[in-house]
Amino acid sequence: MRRVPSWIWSLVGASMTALMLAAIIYFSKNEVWISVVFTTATFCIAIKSFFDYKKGQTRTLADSIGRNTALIMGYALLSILSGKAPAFHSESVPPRTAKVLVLLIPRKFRENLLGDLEEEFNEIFVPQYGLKAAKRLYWWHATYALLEFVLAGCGKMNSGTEVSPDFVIL
Amino acid sequence: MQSRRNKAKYDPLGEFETLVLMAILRIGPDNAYGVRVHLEIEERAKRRVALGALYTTLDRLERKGFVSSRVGEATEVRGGRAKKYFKVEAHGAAALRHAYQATVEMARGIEPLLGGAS
Repeated sequence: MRRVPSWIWSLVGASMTALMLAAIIYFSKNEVWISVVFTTATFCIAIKSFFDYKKGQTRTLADSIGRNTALIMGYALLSILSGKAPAFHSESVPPRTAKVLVLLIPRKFRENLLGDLEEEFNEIFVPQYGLKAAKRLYWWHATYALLEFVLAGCGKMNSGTEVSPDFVIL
Repeated sequence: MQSRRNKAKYDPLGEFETLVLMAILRIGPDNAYGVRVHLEIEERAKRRVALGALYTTLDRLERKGFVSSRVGEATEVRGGRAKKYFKVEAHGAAALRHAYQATVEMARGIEPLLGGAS
């Protein structure tokens, strides 16, 4: 069987490294956890490639990076396709536990409030503040809504008070 | 005597209730649902408002007969949930006018004490 030329592995390695760096930069804005995964994978690949090269298993360092990157990326792709790993966009949904809080408020408000919260989460919170802060904002709105309805039911809270959720955006 | 009759006729509006009624009037009955009212108040009044507070206020205004509501269309971005549109009724508009006039009357003559525009 004919061996794959070294320059092809070098090309694959360089392309994959560029792609991973681009992914780290792109996801660091909104989805930090993906960025962390890519950074960790890049370090693992770099270390393994360096030791493979040192042991003389490959001719050049770029060749080694290419082989290892292709191996790890291929495995990651297979995991995602087979459903073992979560798709990257699956996290971009409102926090489920916070949704449960909203289910506790009176039925006549529930559907509208859930709809409004989901719309604001998708159209305003995530684009403006990023996923992490968007989830905190959703939590804050859900918790405050529950508190508001519970205390309004007890006649202890004057609705419409100005509130400041700025701390959740920090 | 006239002003006493007015007092008896209209339930006094709180500050936030006034803002909510104004926001609904600004947006118009075809588009005034929770998210739009929320954004209108945040953008124009420059204050953060909790959606829960907005809904309890809208409910109170509806019980007073100041606003009416109708269920609208469901959209995908809302997780398939329907919108609830609000409209200011004549009684609400009159109460808002009364509250506004009261504020204008009270502010008359004290503008210099309030300082410049921020």
